[in-house]
Amino acid sequence: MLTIDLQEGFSSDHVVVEINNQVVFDERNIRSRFEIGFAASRDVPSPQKPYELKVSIPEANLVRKIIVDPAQTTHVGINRVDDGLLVTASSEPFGYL
Amino acid sequence: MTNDFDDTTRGFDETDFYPENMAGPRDLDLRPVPPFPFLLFASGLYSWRSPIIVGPIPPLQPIPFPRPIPVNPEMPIPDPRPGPRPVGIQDQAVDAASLSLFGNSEDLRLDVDGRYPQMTASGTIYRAFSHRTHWIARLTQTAPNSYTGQIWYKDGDTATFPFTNVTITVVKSLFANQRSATLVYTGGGSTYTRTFRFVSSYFHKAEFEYDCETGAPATLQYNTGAHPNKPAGMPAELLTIEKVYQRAGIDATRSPNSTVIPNDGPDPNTTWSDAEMHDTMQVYWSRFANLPQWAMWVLFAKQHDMGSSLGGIMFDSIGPNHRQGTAIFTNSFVANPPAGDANPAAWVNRMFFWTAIHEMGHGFNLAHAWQKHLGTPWIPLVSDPEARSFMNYPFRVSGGQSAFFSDFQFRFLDQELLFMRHAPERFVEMGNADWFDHHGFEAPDTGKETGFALELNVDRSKPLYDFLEPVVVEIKLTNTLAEPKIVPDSVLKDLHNIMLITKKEGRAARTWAPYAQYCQLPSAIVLKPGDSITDSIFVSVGTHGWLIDEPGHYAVQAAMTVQGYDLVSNPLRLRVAPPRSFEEQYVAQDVFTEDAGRVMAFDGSQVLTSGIAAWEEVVARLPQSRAAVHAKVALAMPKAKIYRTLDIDAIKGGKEVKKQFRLAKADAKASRDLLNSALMDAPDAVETLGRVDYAYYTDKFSATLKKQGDDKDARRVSDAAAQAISEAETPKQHRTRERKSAA
Repeated sequence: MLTIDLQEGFSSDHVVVEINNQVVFDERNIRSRFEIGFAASRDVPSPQKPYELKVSIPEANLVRKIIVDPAQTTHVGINRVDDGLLVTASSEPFGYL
Repeated sequence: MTNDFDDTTRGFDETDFYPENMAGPRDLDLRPVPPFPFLLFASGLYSWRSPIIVGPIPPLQPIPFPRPIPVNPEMPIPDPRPGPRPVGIQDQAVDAASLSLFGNSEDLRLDVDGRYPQMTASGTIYRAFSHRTHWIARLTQTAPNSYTGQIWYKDGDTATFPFTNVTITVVKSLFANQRSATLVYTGGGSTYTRTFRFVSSYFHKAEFEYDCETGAPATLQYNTGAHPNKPAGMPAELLTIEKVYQRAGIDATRSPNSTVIPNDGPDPNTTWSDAEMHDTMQVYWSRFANLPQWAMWVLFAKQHDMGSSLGGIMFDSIGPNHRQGTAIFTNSFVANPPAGDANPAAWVNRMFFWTAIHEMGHGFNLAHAWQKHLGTPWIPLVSDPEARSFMNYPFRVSGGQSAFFSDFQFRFLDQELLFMRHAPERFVEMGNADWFDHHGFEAPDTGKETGFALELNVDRSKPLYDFLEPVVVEIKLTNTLAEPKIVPDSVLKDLHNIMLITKKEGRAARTWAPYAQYCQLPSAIVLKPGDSITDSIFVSVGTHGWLIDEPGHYAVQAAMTVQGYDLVSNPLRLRVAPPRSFEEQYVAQDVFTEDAGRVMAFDGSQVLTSGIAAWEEVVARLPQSRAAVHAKVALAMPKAKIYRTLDIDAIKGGKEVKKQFRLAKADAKASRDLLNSALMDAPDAVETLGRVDYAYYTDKFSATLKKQGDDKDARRVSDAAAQAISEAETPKQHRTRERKSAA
């Protein structure tokens, strides 16, 4: 299981997340709340072996790919930043304040 | 309260004098004097208020009988048509030299010593409550009590503020009432000096109210020496939330109205949504109001709908006033210390304490340390993801929370302090928002310390008006202090000092401006504690046209400046009913015109013929209507006396223009018939005219009858009017009667 947290920088964006080219998250109007730096979260099934995680904002031509080792990563935080998308892998849940 | 004795170099803090378990207001009289030697500080809030100028009552001068005006063909007298609208508050360009003329005030915030000085001065100039200029200057010290600097920020009404530099000289004293600051504005081709009186060592006040859900304890203090991971050399102290904000320059106090909110539903562990927290805030926060105020509600609850990943939130982004409520969640990741921590209990206590201050910082409109450049910063800001501030996440910095707390001084960053202390008040104050669409009653200085209350009322049981019925509201100014207050007797008649805004649902708000302004030499009256003065305002129409005309829901609100304080009334909501007949719709086309509006506003005319005709039509077609009561009064008043009009006749064939006053005879019978019908016979005359105007018209009617030699009828009118006024219920009496009937 992988928890995908969409965090900072989203402003009514269409965000697509794929695992090994299979869409696991596809939602529009993703908006970050400044007060907690969080937009949306989704738990998705993930493979047992290392896999490719691809995040994209199709309308903005933004794409980011990382290789995820499920033995070490159970949570990913995705941020839209000035020059693209930033993906942070973690073995623990992210906290928001 | 003063932090004059706050000597940071000796780790000496004036708030040490206050017991940490004290709740509610501090008792200044019990504050002990620290030992010699002590330092006097200059930093804090200073204020200047313009005095009310009251002159002697001049002797009455007889008005000379009008003589023909000498004709000067080179200076033609313009046509007697309505001229340009009178200059209203929005049009006046008040220059610096006239800042003292209209009940203005200024605040100065000087930040040069004490805790975390920013070497900054900021000021706010208030003019007639709706005009505000804010400036900020960076200072350097030029002498022991003198500072100078360049203004680098301006906001608001800057067109009338040309200055570029400030020089400030401070007079310090042990005694607050002897402290002052003299500020010289220079630059922009002008110089201006102002001397301020010291008010407080803090820059703003704020009250925090803490409530808890059952089973979610509040963390309001932390012993900074409890956990071994801390900056080397940082003294151990019992730090409260209030003390943290006091050190940031906020005179923070704790409300005595803390509540434990019961969680007695079917599931005691139910989670909270933002909407539920906002609803609870409205119920449990003793100061909840849909208006900006320096106050915040803090809820300690178990868990948010988001689950344990949310440790706290400034949830109040609902409704018209944001940033008034925050929440901290005890059943969240914040309660989980790292494995192997040296003192897990202290770690958790520290994190809850830190989270509370963090969320409350959002209430002050502070962003996360890494977000400073996002949104609409008030000035260009640099994000700092490594910042050691309450506004950063400890676990986001390099090395994680361990690295963060190893050099965290339990303070805000300088740019955060600059914002909290010196940014325009509306950016910081909780709940501050635009008022009535895009109209800005700038967040007025409406604190309870003004000693006045301003109210708008309607003199009827329900604020429901017939279609075409002119709307007259009552404006009331009350002395709310326990001591007498002196105010000008014309304070409610000087309409240039009152701003009134009306808003129809679905339309933009519009400013009401009267057709005429009166310049009077003010005399003073004394308002005893609890006393009020009242006047009426005809708000349906003004120089900006008819503002209350079509059927629908309206809101009316007033603001004015009295003794340098901004007062804002309650928003008065009223409704105009739809037309009940074709007749009403027909006459409306002529009534809702400028001429008809002027005839009604001036209690009649003998030259605005189309306006007169419109109200005559109302009387003829709708004789029993409430609009007809007003129309009859407006038609009667010019007939009650000899009426003077200015006639301008061009002499045929020549260039000469003949101008003279023409006197129209009074038509006593017609006037009497109309006024009897309107004031004596109409059953709802008091309600539709309002008591103030009904009393005014009946007094004038009675006086006219007496002047005509009819004492008996004059007495009849006076007696009947007094009885009608006493019999007419106040809205409060009506509600009481309805409640009794229902019971």
